Amino acid sequence: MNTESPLRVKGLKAGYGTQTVLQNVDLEVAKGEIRIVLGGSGCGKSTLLKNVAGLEKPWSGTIEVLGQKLDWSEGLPTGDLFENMGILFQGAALISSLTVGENVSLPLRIRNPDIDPEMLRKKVAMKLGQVKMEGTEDKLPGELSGGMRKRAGLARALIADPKLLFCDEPSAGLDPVTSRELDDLLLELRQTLGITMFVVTHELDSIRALADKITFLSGGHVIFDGTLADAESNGPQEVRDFLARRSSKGKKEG
Amino acid sequence: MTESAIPPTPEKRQPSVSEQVGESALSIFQEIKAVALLLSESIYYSTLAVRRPKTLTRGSTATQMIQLGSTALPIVLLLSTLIGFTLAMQSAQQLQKYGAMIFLADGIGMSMVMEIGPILTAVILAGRSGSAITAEIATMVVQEEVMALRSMAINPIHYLVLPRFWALSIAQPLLTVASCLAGIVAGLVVGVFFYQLSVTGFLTELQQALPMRYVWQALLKSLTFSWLIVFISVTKGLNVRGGADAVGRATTACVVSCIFSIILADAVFSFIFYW
Repeated sequence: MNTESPLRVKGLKAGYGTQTVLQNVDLEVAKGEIRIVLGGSGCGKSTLLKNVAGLEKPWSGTIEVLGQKLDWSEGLPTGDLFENMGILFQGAALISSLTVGENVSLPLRIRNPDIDPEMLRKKVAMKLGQVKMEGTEDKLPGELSGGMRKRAGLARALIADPKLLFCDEPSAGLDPVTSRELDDLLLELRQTLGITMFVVTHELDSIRALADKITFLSGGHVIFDGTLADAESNGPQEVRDFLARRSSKGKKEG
Repeated sequence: MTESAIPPTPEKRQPSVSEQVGESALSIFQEIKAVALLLSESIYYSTLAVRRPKTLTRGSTATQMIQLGSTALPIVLLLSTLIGFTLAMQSAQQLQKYGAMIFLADGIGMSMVMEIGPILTAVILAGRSGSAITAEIATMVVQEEVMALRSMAINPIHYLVLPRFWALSIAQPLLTVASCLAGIVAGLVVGVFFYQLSVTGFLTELQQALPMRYVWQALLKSLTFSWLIVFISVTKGLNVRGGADAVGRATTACVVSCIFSIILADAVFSFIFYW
């Protein structure tokens, strides 16, 4: 077991109401790794992300993020944990009443009300520069395109220099070119900042561009955990079919 | 797979009347519990904010006061004036028969301060500000903005509820005072211009008929109503599940629940104050 693993999940079971979505999920992500979680629609990818990021309470199992066990005894985990991680949501989830600059600076402004405004302004400009969004501080989220919103969301996720970045369907709703640009940006950020990334997606192009390792979910279970090359050569039939864009339904029935 | 191999869908059993009543009672209980929890958290964080004012988001309470309170002033004034005018005209018809026109001041003053001012303002704000709070927060939930706040270690109660809680707690009593004054002025205008009452006579009679106790009671009522509006609308917004249609349903449910709770609370206050 890697003692420096920023994310460790053991025996995770989660769901909504009476419906079980995830069962007995184990996984471990190494420092600096880009881990892709993939699977068909409704297999529990987003639920897994929300659980490991401490945004939803699991039914059972343990989740360790950056060496800290998520503790739900007093409601939602808060504080230090979230200061070292960032999340890029599927729709970017920018606060629509705030400008891009206010959105990006929000985590720092709330955590440190005494922060020097000039320093904050410089930091926001730097983060927007990192995601190629210079000069958009005064725009409202409604004035941005889908790709720009995602980049602004990414800048906000990076503002506190996180060690771990969660991305929920980063390329969803984007055209192939913008999607590719976002993938390149994530790779560049990993290279320059050394951030560990946990990315949920089912876009094959993104998976091929980003993945160090993949975790394949099917029916709430992990059915494959390893490298993409391993998955394509020795993975279960369902995983190989998925990666080859083939339907495995007919085969099973046949 | 052949058609005959498809397993028959089990028939869904309709819940019995007692089960439906039980479910409704449970959901009402859960809603009351959620509102009470929100109230306790808001009081906790407000106390914290008083001790450490910098933890409050700068300017957000003032923005909410403008959005939820100040912009409601024209409609509150207009409706209160019209109701004050109507009440005065109708009361004067009866009072004239007994030669007791001066009691117009008593009637208008007491009804505006004890009942119409607080209730009318609360109903207007429930429809206007309550629905706006629910729609805004529900949309934020649907667009994962509330989850994004949590992911940034920002407590949604602190960020979303406190500014609205403070804003309505200050704005609603002030709007209630404005409403009462507008209604009384309308009554005064009716008395002076249509029934030849003197301004001094009207105001002297009003002062005698309206002890300060009634004014404090009206302010207490309006503060309570403002809390009901904030907590019900925030609870409805935060508990929304689904898409745009769920936002619409939550907004409608918010207005209905707010108005019902306000009228219920008003009845409780009447029992406490006048029994």
